[in-house]
Amino acid sequence: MSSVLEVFNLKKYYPVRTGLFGRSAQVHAVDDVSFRVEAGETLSIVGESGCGKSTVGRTILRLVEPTAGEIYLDGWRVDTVPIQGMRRLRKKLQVVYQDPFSSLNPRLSVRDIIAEPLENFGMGQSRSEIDDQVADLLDKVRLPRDAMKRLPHEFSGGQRQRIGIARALAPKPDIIICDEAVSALDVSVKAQIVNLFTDLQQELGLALLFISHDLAIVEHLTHRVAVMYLGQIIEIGDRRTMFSAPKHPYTQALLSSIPIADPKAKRNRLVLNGEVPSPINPPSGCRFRTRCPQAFDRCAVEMPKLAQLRVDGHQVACHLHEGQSD
Amino acid sequence: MVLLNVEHLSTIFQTSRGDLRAVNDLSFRVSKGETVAIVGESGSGKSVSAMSIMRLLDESRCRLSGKVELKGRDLLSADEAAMRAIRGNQVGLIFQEPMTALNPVVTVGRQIAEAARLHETMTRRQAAEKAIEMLTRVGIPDPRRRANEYPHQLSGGMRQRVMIAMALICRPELLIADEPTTALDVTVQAQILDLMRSLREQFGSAIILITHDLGVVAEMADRVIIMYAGRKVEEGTAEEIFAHPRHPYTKGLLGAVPRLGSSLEGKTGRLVEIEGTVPDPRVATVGCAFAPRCRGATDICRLSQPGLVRTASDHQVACHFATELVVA
Amino acid sequence: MNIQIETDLKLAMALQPDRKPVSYIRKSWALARRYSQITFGGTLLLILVLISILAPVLGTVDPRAMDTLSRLRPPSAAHWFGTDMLGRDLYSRVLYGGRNSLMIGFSVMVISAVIGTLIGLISAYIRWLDGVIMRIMDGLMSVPSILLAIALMSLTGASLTTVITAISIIEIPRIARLIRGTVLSLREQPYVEAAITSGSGPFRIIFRHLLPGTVSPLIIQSTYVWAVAMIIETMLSFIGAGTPPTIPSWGNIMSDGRALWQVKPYMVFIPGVFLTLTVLAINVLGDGLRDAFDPRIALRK
Repeated sequence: MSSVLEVFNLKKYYPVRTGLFGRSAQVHAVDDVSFRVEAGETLSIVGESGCGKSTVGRTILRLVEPTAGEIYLDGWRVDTVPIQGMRRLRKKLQVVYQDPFSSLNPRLSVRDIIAEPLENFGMGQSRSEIDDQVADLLDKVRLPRDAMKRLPHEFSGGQRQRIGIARALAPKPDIIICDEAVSALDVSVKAQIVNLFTDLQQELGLALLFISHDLAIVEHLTHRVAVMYLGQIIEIGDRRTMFSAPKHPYTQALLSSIPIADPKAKRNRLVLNGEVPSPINPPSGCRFRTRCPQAFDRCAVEMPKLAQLRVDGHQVACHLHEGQSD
Repeated sequence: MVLLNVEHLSTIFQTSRGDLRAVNDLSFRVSKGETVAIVGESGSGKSVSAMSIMRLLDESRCRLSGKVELKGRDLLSADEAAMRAIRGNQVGLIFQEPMTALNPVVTVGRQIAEAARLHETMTRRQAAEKAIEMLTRVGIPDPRRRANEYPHQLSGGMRQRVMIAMALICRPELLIADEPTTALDVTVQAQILDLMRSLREQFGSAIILITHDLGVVAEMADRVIIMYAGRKVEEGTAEEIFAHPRHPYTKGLLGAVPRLGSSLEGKTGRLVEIEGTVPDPRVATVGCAFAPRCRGATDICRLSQPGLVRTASDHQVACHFATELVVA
Repeated sequence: MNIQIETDLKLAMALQPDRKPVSYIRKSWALARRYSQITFGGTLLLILVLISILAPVLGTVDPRAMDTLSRLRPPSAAHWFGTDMLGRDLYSRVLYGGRNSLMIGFSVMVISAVIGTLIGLISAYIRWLDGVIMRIMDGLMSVPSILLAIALMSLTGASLTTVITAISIIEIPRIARLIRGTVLSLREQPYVEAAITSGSGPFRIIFRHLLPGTVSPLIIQSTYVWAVAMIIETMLSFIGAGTPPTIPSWGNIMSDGRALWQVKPYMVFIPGVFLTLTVLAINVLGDGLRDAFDPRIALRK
């Protein structure tokens, strides 16, 4: 098995209470999600707010406990290992967080922040060994070596994000989850960090699980894309197929909604009506049917399942395309 | 016809660690019915300039200088009562976070109605009817029921529509929108931009659109102003700026934005990077503020602040090399 | 590119006017003015503490020495604060009493800070214990402190240690709640999650990421505990349920003068003034510390 990360039928339900004495209901934040990430590749999970993409990342990291499903990291079962055992597995699985300002402890020096995983995983016998590794990591993320002694508040958002990336790289993980890692950055800084990610991936053979809502950025650095809507993956495929000929109406609408930075470009916009329905009471059958311009009667009755299309690796959950599977 | 005339606007904040020049010598004009986008990243001064024009800053902490004229009337010397008569009436305002701009304990219908009654005499009933009419206009389904709901009961996109309704109810000639779609999902953003375009046609308002998203600019703007470190560095029509950017910062910005479909054209190489970071606004710079990050910077750039040079009938650039045909 | 930036800086520096070096004295004075409350409260408290520590060398006599020939004398050259009904020199008693009062307050502060922090941490970190612990704390806090103190003292009888213990028990819930609240909110910070994903275990997270954030609220609250503890001790001693009468404390001195305060007010008044000054100093210091640590108010200065 060469897959670094495999997720099967992942579910995360949150109990909610509707009203003071109301019945308790379940929010299906993640509902039966499956995918795998190979070594050295980038899989992006995209979707709008409330689709569950961040929750997928957090369950894999065991920051929240999954309700059901199986997660394998390099063949090791992750979802059922006791939380102390999880600590050892974290060496292979790291994160870069969205907010560069609150994801670094403001009281620790940059050296201490980056050294923390090294110390936790016993990756240095002496202080000077660890310092050397920290210096190497700073080189890798293109920060000056004297940053080691300084505090986070002395750095800009983009530089702090680099510190976070150095921290994630420290234990030499097999896969890094990027949870909206560039969303909070300015346009020009985003470009720097995206370039950094692609360079690091080539240099180190890292796998990346890139969670984002920004499809244009995603297109730039991903190999494959999974699109989520209300807790489910509704389409997944390689970059070329997904961006040139997406099959699911939601993916098509998503791509066409993105404003194009060229005043002369032609736009054929598929404007969706309405908004994302409440996750507590998702529509029956296909969850997208209330906004889908091509919905028909079967869509209200039966939830479509992800089915393989003719192109290898391309799967769509839509009744319109079921006839095309092999 | 010129609606808004801004000349040499400067906004200086007094902090314990020195003076902070958030806006530095900004001049521009907005004509009737046109949409001007002010583009910049954090620290560019784009939001502060709009707040300065509308006198929404705490003026015990900052100094405004220059001239701001709305249809010939000076706004910088107007008192607070006069400004209140203008805000919401002749100038509509839309902010980024509708949740913080709307009163959470008042129904949305009432808030819109209040906005109308502040500036025009009408009974409560008339104002309520007007509010419902505006809600329909901004595309909220079932407006009569929605008018009685509170902001937290509405989704993000709907709250933004309510803000637009409040901003437009008195048919202002000028609308100032500060990052109106940044906090919204991309499909909702498409809806809101559509709405703004149709309302723009119906009402004929001019719009000052403040944003960092170049895609939104391309979709909405007639003219574009690029700001960096408090100064205007380039201005021109949208077509001209996107097709022939002249300032190195503008070029860098345009190159840093990934385009959809780039993978199909084989253009997913490295994005253009602008090295370095935005300068500290408290440190007074000698020379061009962009020089430390500019590949083509020379000694002239580091010693002398470039003025705005007109390179075409409607294209200004603040760069010593603006008129060169090829800049590295 | 780096070389260019250095050249920039040199050019910029060359063009700026020369700046005069500012002396340290001027800098310290400016700092003292900015943080005036800390300066005022801290200095006053320091003076009072020094007076107490240096009591033996400040012209005192044995505070227990009785001189029955000089009873109830008003303040004079021989006895700066006068004498009490047993002829004891009040000046000496007030100074030595200050030692005890301050020490009792200080001990209560330290004990309740340590134990309160421990309880608050456990409560915030081990969720199933949280309910039980907090209900106990609520119970303790719902009884008026002075009554609770009297009850505890009646159980054990009077001595310095029992006074300190009783008052500490009263103040611990306040600190525990503070620490629990602070830790609960700190736990939600992304950098704590980042520590978890970096493989840090609970001890590392508590000591490196959570506790340092509790230090400033703890210091501020502790100063108030010091003041409150001294007031409670004074109240207890005033009604005879506190420090045993053989040990001088401000409360005891005031208690001795209680029957006579209308004719010989100085016996109650003078220790009262000292207590008031001490509490004032501590409160002003605490306010100053709170303002200094609050990032929003600090920005405006």
